Amino acid sequence: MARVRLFSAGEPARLAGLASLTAPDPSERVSALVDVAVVGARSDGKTQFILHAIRTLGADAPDDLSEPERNATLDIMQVVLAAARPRPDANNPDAGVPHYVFRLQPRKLLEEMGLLAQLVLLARSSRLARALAVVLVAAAAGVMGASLGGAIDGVVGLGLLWLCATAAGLAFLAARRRFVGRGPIEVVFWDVAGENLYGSRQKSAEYWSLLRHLVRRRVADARPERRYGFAPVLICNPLGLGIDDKQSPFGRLRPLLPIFAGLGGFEPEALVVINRWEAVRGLCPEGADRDELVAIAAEAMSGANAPALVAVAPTEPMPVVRRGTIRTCCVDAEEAREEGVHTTVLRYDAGLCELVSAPWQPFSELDARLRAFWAPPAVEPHQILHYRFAEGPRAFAGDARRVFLRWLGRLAFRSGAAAPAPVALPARAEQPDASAVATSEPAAAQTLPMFAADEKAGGFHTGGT
Amino acid sequence: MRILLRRAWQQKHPSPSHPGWDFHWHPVELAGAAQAIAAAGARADAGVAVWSIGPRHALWLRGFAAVAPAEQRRYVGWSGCAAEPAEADDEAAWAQALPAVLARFTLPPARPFALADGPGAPNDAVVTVEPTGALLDPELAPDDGEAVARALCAGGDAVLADPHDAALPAWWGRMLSWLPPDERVRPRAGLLAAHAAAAAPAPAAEPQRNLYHYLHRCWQHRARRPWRLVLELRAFKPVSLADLFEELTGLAAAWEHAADLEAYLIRSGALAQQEIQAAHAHAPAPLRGPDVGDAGRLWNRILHYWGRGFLGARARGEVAERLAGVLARRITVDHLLALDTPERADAERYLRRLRFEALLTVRDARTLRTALARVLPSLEVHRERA
Repeated sequence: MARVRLFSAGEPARLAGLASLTAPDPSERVSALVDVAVVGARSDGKTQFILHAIRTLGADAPDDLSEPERNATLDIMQVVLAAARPRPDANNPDAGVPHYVFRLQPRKLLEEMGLLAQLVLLARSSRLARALAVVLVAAAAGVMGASLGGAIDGVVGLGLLWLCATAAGLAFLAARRRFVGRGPIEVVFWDVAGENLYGSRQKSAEYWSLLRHLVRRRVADARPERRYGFAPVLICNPLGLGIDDKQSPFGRLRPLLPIFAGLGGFEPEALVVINRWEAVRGLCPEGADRDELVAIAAEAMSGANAPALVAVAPTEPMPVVRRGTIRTCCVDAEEAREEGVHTTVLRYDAGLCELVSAPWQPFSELDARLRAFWAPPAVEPHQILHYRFAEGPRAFAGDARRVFLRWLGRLAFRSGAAAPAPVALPARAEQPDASAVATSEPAAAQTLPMFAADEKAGGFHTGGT
Repeated sequence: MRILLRRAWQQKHPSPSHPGWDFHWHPVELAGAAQAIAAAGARADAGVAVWSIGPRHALWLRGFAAVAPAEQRRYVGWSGCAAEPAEADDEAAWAQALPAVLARFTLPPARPFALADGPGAPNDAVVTVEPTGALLDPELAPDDGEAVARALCAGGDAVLADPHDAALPAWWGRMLSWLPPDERVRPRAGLLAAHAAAAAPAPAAEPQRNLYHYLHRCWQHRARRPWRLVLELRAFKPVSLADLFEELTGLAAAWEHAADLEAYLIRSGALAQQEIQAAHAHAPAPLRGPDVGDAGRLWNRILHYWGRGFLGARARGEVAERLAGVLARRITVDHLLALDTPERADAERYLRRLRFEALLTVRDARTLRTALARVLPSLEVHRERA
């Protein structure tokens, strides 16, 4: 089974990244396709989130990816498995939007969920709700019949209860088995360079256009036995929230989240990810003044002794945050439905970190390395928080893991209804033409029949007569 | 022609153009840069170079790796040169000047911008370049020359020992001088790396393979004469080089058996069915009888019958033009084939056949030679063996 190239005619949008995208063969058992577009400003931790997500999924990539996708997967796996220093390179905004294809096995998804979450998921995906409704109606009919005949008593009641419980249990097991048999969920992470969304480049309309082409193409292929889900993930980096959350990159991107989420069609979903959770805890200790300003000196532990290669003195001021802003955006944020978008909140810490708070001292007295990175802060802070971090090869753990997997399951099977109505697009043949099939083997070279098959090198081969 | 030469850097390190640690261009983004970097895609790395050429730009960038101290993240940045016409010159003048333009590129060091590189404006310069001739000396032919020829013609990846060699733009310009001017400036981009990609690019169709193969062969042997014939053929009947090689490949494949050649001549419009029927009606023997064992004999007979008027007397001049077109392609193919086996090739055998085997009168032979010279002017002028 070969994967199908979705945009065989080349890049449909101005921002490159879709031409190499492939989807599983229509005959392959894949229960759902999910596109996750990770959105955030430069250095907010978008790729770091993707690394955690990939590890959480068990780094299970399809075997038959096209060559560009396989290369991208191998590149990201170099970082996923780099135990000592899993620090990804910065994405170049001109190099297009890379994507990474991985899979979530249904058994793994169910095992990581609580019973209630499993029931909800199976009700959405495997007709469990219908089966349970039948059991309840049968039970009600039984009770009514017994009461009309005057035969209801404790023994009969217990018997009915046992029957209902057994039927419900069997329905649950059957739905679970059906769900596992439908195949994995294919999750595609889209990792845009921060500068394309917020920063010096501002190509967010081109990114939006790319995602729009992507979703339209996917929706055209969706069907009840292979659902499709799309959602944006907005990264909230607490260290970049500043004094006024409305003026921070996160604060400015947050109102745009419904527009990106709306690309996914009905029941829009979004995920807000708050990373560097330990820093949030350090910035919001109990009893602290909400209006207090704190300068943040963040640096990677491994880079502490690295020489600073700075050609021009930086004029970007050292970041300063207000404790109240951190509390509002990070601590108080919770799952909600806003502007028609169901937003889930995930909190995690990307690595191992050390936090040291100290009273603010004049900028000129700070360590020379910090002064090489930053200009003096725009306002005088009360404190400075030294946040030293080391990346680790971590996956989401505890609550973050449960929230992430539950969110993925919800995204893949948002409704028990059939797939969303397809958008009018150029029809795709049931059997894709040969040029649209991305095979891992190169096509056979064209050889004139008069020549031996191994004569594939250039040259006319014959001098004629 | 006056051109604007620019040097620029794409980096995360702060520069006079941008104070922060964002990716940005200093002093300005170069024309074609986004296209070239996007074409490099996942292979973009510190050791590679990318290029882009279009009707109004030429660009050369070298990758570098640096670490942004503010994030302690590695990134791949770019530094390089671009040129564009300083005035509203026409595309033809730009195409003629392109090799000279690339020769003027002075690549900045492959690292983030530093104050020693100049404050910005001095990185721009308006210079005058003169159009260069075609077929400049390639100087060196790379090992994997067919891939280089492919990249030059169609864009894409190629392997070179040192992609950061500062002399590469000038060399690339000399190679470009082997393409027809309008194909030099067809928009395309590519990447030069020291190692091949994990996967080989999709194999080209046979005509394209032949195009890359013989372009490389001409570079290897410094063989200007065969390639000049190719360029003249293409100029006579304006088609792309790829289409021209499709014709040549079709002709080479058909020139074995008489039946194949007859089918080819009809298919290509060199002979009409009425002309073949006329030959059957008036000639002493059929055009393709049992005594015509191969394509070479059939060709001799066609020329002979044309000379005697058996193909239809009223349009002899027009038929001569068509036959001269086929003959020009045959002779060009023979010149190219001679590059594969120079020790036993005879690139001019069909000129001799025209003279000695077709049994044409002197006047008819001269008519065909004149028509041939209109298609391949250099055939008579440059008699030297390449």
